[in-house]
Amino acid sequence: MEALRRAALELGASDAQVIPVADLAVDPRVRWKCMIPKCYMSGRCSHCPPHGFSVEEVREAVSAYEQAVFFRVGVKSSIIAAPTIAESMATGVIDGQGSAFNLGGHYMLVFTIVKLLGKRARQMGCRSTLGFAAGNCRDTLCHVQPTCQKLMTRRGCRHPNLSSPSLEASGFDVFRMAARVGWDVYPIGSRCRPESVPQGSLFGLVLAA
Amino acid sequence: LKTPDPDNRLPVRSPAAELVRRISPELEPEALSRDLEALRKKALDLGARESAAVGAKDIAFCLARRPTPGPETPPLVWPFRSGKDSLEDALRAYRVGVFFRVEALTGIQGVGHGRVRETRSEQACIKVHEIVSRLESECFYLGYHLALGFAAGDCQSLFCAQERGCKAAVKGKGCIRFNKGRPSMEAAGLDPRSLARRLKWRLPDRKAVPLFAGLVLVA
Repeated sequence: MEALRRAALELGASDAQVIPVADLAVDPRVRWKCMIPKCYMSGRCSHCPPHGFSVEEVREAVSAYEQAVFFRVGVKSSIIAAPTIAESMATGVIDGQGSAFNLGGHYMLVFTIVKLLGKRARQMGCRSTLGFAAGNCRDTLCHVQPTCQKLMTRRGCRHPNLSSPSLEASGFDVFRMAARVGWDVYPIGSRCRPESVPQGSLFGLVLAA
Repeated sequence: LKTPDPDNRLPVRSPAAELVRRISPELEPEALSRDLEALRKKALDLGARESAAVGAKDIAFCLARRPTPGPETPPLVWPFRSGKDSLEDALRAYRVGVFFRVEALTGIQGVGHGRVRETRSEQACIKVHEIVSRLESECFYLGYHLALGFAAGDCQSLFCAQERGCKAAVKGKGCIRFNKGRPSMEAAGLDPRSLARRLKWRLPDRKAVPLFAGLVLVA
């Protein structure tokens, strides 16, 4: 796991830690935060609530592992809390200042690290891996597509080698987990402004056994 | 913020910078107690008639039988299309919240979790939605990132009355008034009247003046 932690840093994570599975916080309230009030992606992506893994399924899945690599990708507050990001989400139109693309790049990095760590773990002899990324995969990987192919057809995901469910959509209280390992986490919503927070973070988790 | 929703019923808030508190590893009881009192007062400032901090026992007390959802669940009971997750388990995980009611006029029509048909009822429900939304947002930036709010009335008749059905109830579609429409307390299986009685609020007769209440579960 230490090798995987170092690999996460080499691949672009700002911080990474090996944590025992007992430290994972799976909370039944988290998925409901996606649904009450509805997030714009709720119901539109196969990984986002009410679809995706339930809290019980996640608890059962993670119980098969002993340790995980938990990592953080830092994002400048001027990007993640840019006023144009909230507008982009509300309108579905990518902003002209590049903030949405820039933030999308950070999300893409998290998706990539999760998949590469899983691959690295299997190369090292691990028999099974389980990865969770950040945010919905549809905005990052299928923004120009009209629907989520996995959700709406039998053809499956368009990007199975990149897509992973997010920690939050799978019921992990990722803010609390990050705070407990000593990382500074700030709640960033549509009313947050760059001057309100020193930085933002995106998180990923890979379990291997 | 610009919104794609031309008939947005909730006031658009100015994009002033919020006070954002760092997430703490564990809940701090003293800070929580102070924040609850501030949130309770904030509800009054925002136009609530009465407000109170509630605990886990109060939340458990007002959890009543939830309407049974189904694939054709009408929007009047909120699109609870989440068969895999138990809302009741989530509600029971909260330790504290803020409960409030807004003033209602004599003779006004009650709504429960049903359709809102009368203008005065609609205004009362919109007010509850507005207060819940503001309190929930406040909680989020104070570091209570799991805060969850329940309002009054059916969100489709409040925000999407001109639409043909609730889009969120259609597979592959999302809510077109995302971040605004939320279930009523009744639709979530929470009985506001029994909670108000437990708090010893002096409520007028149910038929004469209905209760328009909201609940924000803080942490």
